[in-house]
Amino acid sequence: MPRTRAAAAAATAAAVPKGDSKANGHANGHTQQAIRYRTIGHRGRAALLRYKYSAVDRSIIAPYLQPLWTRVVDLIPAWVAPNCVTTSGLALVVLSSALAYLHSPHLDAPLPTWVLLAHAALVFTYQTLDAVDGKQVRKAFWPTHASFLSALTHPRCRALLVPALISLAQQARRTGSSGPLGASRFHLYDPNRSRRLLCSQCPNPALTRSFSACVARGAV
Amino acid sequence: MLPGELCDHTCDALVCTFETFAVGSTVLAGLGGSHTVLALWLVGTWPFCMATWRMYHTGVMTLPEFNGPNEGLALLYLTQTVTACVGQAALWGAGPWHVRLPGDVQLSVRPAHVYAASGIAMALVDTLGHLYAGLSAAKAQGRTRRRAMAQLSPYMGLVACLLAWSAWSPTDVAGTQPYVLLLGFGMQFAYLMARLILAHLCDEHTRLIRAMWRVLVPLPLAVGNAAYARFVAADGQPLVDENALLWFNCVYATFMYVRFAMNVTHDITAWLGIYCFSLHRRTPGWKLEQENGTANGVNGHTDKSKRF
Repeated sequence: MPRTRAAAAAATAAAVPKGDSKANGHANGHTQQAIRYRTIGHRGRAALLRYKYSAVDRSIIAPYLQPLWTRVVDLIPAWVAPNCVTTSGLALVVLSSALAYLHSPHLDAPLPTWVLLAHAALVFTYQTLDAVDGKQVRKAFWPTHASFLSALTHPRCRALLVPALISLAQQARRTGSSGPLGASRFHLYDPNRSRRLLCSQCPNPALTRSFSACVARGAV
Repeated sequence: MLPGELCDHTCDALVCTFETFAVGSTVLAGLGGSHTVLALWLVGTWPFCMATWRMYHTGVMTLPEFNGPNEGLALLYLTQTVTACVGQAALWGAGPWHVRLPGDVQLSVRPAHVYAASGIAMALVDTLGHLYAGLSAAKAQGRTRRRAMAQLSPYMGLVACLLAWSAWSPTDVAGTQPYVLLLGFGMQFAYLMARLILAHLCDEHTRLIRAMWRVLVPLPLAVGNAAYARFVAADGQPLVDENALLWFNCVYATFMYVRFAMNVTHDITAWLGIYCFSLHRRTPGWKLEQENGTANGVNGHTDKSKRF
């Protein structure tokens, strides 16, 4: 599966010549299908691209819970999709109602204490996850949905900064350049050079891959 | 992120129903008669519906000072923690207290009644604010108030059917099968809210109300069946088995909701070139349309195992 927009667009352009309306002979044997939109019409699809979410929260207790939510979102890895966070919250509440059904099918039987405490804990976790999923959006879709300051603390940003600094230091040492600014000229003119350099130096393949993706996208 | 909003809010709509079971079992709602759990369900869904309807008209999701996802849920887990500490029988098993109202009306009140009634009162206060803001925004945008209120009619119909069915039911569906009954109605509620949110996201308003009523199709049958047993039949027997209707409504509502959710997820993710449950990207549908010059693009992703 193509990982970046640029790579995906290039792949599509290669596979589907312009103006070819049949376009069903794919190189790797897959039959390409036209996308069928069942619930959203032309006008709706155009409106989707323009849509911007806006919300006003005048809640009383939310400011007191914010520090907790900020800590929790740090615990969730950046590769987790925000919808997974939301849906797992829903699953917890479904579990809570399943507990209620098992112990009190007509809502009139006394519950064991641990079930009551489990109810409270599950609702609290659901509330936390529900509040955290918006923060996870900003974290996972960095940098398009994040502010500059929060972007700097993002793991993907750190993953870029650290190897870039390493490669600059390597360049400076090898060429005997006067400083990192002199060395960075190479990167400006030849992005592949910095990628090759990074691939040879960086021990972590994940970092190399993310850096290569950025180079392919034209970000570096 | 856009599909995130839809996913988040429809999950919340489902949670309104599932939380009703947890709270209902905590406050022993079944002891005080079958209507208490219906009141608890209304306390969850009613302000949610009004807030969504307000967002539909104003374009801004407004959470007032006392709102469901923050204060409402906090109240729930406080209730459950206090119940666990004090003891369920001592707190919610008390009563019933007999209260005599003017006009020689006798009420037997349980703690769960007080709990549900105070929730209804808070929902009423919440509703007034949402109603005022929504109607003002509708008027400002040149929509008639009648049309704005008509968008609330499916929810009103849902609530009316729920109350009528449980009041007239010869087998007391809300008392004997509260889970199945409210699960069906909860799915119908989530479907209504998902339709409303999608119409707001896509700015598509034609045939919205008709589409919303479609999910309520089994309810007139069920209410008519109960009314027949109550008012017409000499032996008090319904025409169709109520249990079967209950399950039919639940399965029908779940099917409609799941089908709609899957279709919408497919449409939005394909159009924007994203996935619902992963951060990977694919060629967006709008880009394919531009490149191919056709109204319907050609699907760019080749990984057939990954639909969402």
